[in-house]
Amino acid sequence: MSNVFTLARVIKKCNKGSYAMNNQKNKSADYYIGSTAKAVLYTLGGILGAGIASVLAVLMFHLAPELAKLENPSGVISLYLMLVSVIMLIITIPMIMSSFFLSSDLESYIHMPIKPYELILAKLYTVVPTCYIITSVAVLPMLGGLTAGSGKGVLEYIEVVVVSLMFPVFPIILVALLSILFMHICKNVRKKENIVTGITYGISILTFGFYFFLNMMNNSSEDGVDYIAVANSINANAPWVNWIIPTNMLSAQAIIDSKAVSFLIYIGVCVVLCLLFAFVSGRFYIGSALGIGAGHSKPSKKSVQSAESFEVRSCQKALMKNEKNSLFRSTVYTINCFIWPILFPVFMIAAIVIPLINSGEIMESFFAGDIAGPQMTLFASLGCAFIAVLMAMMSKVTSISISKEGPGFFALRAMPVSYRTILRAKSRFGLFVNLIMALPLVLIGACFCVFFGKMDVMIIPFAVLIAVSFVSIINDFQLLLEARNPKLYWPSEEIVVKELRGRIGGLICLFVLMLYFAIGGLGVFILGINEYVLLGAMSVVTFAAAVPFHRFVINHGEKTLSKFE
Amino acid sequence: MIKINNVSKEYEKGGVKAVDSLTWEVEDGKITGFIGPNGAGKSTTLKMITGVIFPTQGSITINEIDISAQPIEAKRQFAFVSDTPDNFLKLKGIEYLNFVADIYGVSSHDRKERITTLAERFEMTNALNKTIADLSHGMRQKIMLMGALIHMPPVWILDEPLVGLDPNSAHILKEMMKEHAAKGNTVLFSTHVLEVAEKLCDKIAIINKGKLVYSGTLEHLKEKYSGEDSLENIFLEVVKNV
Repeated sequence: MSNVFTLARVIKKCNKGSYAMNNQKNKSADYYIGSTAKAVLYTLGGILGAGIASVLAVLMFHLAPELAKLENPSGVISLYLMLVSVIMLIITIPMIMSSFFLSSDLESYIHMPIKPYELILAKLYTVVPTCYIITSVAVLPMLGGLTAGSGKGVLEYIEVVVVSLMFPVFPIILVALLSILFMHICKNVRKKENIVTGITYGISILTFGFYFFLNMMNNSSEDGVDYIAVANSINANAPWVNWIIPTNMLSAQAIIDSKAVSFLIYIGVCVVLCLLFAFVSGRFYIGSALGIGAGHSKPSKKSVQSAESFEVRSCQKALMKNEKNSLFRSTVYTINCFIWPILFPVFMIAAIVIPLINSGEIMESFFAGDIAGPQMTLFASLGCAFIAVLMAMMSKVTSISISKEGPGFFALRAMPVSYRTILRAKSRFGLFVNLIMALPLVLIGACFCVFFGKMDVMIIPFAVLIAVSFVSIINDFQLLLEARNPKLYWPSEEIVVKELRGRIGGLICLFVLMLYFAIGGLGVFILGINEYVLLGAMSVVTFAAAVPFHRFVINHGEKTLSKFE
Repeated sequence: MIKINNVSKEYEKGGVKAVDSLTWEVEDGKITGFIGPNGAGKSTTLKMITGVIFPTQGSITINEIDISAQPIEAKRQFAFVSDTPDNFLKLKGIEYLNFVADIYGVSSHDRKERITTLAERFEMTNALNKTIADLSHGMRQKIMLMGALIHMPPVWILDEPLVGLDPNSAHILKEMMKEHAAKGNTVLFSTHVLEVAEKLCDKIAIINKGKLVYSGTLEHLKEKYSGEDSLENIFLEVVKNV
């Protein structure tokens, strides 16, 4: 077993949520985000987690007597535990798939005297901290508060601790088994990254659908959904649902109903699961992992002359084409640069729009044109620009544009192409892609307001102009940060996309946009300024800021990159 | 011609110099081998010549163009192949070659002809449509070589170019180097394989601990160390004395 901990340390270090390094000199994994910033983030995260846990514990403490009056209280708790298990599954799926399915480090270990189960446990060890963070926030305080509120004995408290410790077992083992099964089935697949893309798209759609469904449910009645009543209904009509994850029902029965037998069976089931996992993984993991297609592409039947046009391009167009190829041919970059930037604003907007849709009166007023008024042009335009800012903030097309070159950046440096040309190509490509993502939504929103809300048609040009300007500023801000500090040394693409500094420009622009809203409100409602004058001024100011800022970024970026080693 | 004038490189101020007061001329019409132990400063020197990193002091000119003052013009004078060919992995071979041709401004007609010729010589015709990531180390090396040669520069700077090449491709590259030097151009390459240096090079430069310890012909080196019977022994003797 000592091998497990040694291996886990090595695997964790090699694939560490460590970020890319900017040069060979600085080996510190903390360099990227800074140890101070990391400490602040962890502290804030800890405070938030502690807050949630405390609220949950106190809530359950007070709810415990009410829960005891229900017909099947353990069923209700079991459903809650199932929800937490599902969340844990969703979070661990990409982590375990990445560790099992996508990692290529197996060949480094396979020739060593390491047993398969040691290797598997070491890989799973990397997801354990995340699972226990979820457990300590969502499960332990809930069960603890419930136990305290029910006046249970010492045995139940011990059961709470044991259940919390063993809670991640089922989700981790389930995902790991599914991963191994998946690897076994997909042994002959050449491009395994495409499978992961498909799975990630699928999970994203399912997650969004679930979120949308919950929102619709919650807003379908004036008082929201009574979740306890829903749980009771499920327990009464479909009790088998509780047993989908049997460990949850057993643990709930052990704690809530004080059934010692359930607790013993719970321990037994966990042990059996572990043994089953040990057997299956020991038998199939290595073969499945090594059998995964090496990704060699088929030789093309086309000849070189017909396959490629030998078209001559300018330096800048050649660089932009290079950007496009390197971005779109990587699953990791595709997911992080396209899926999340599109999904995030959609989530945010759905959270706002769905309650409005469910609120019939507001929508009736909207379609009747009652909301359209002289002041609404300004707010609607800014609202549409808001979508673009959200999207650009989440996009990583430009914020990793230099880092993703890796050491290949130095190969580019040996070529007769100026940094100015390189930066311009990255800026233009990033702007182009970000606008492709953002503008359709902006136009849809603006046209919806104009044609369905009977608002002023001037919303469209103002929304587009402000959106384009803000997207350009965010794009250039991301490039500026990249040029000042590119992180070229990274072991895998997943490390490259783990950057957060690209959000800074977006946050600043969001702040400015909020300021525009405030100025708009002040100007229109208090000072009586014509909204078109205000909108025009805002558009001009934003555009006027975007143009010189772009020039500054190119000039400054050229200077910093020319000194970079 | 490459002229290196009193060039030093310190990665940290006051720290150990990776290259120390190097003054050296790489002549036209000759194949110059650049050899030295691991960590001697070979790659650092080559990277400074090609503008990848910057000298702490001194100047470097390539065909009389200062790499620091006029980097773009200087970079048009040479082709550089680094020791690690793991660049532009997402591109297909043909895309990479077209990309390099675009950077160097090679016409459509010329690039088509040169790509076809080089692909045939290196037996890479069928591999050009594959992504570079899918190629073996040796094939990636060949793609990088093809990219370096596509614009027919007067100066070739190659950092361990034979590593990973199969014997046939290694032979082809050596022949190409000879042809290129015979036309009055400059070939500078670093290698650890002393037998290759012995057979191929007109001149040898030996670097150790950042200092140039010898620069001249092989015959002169053998005369100087007449007690040793092979370049390997001469080399070991030279570096030992530093």
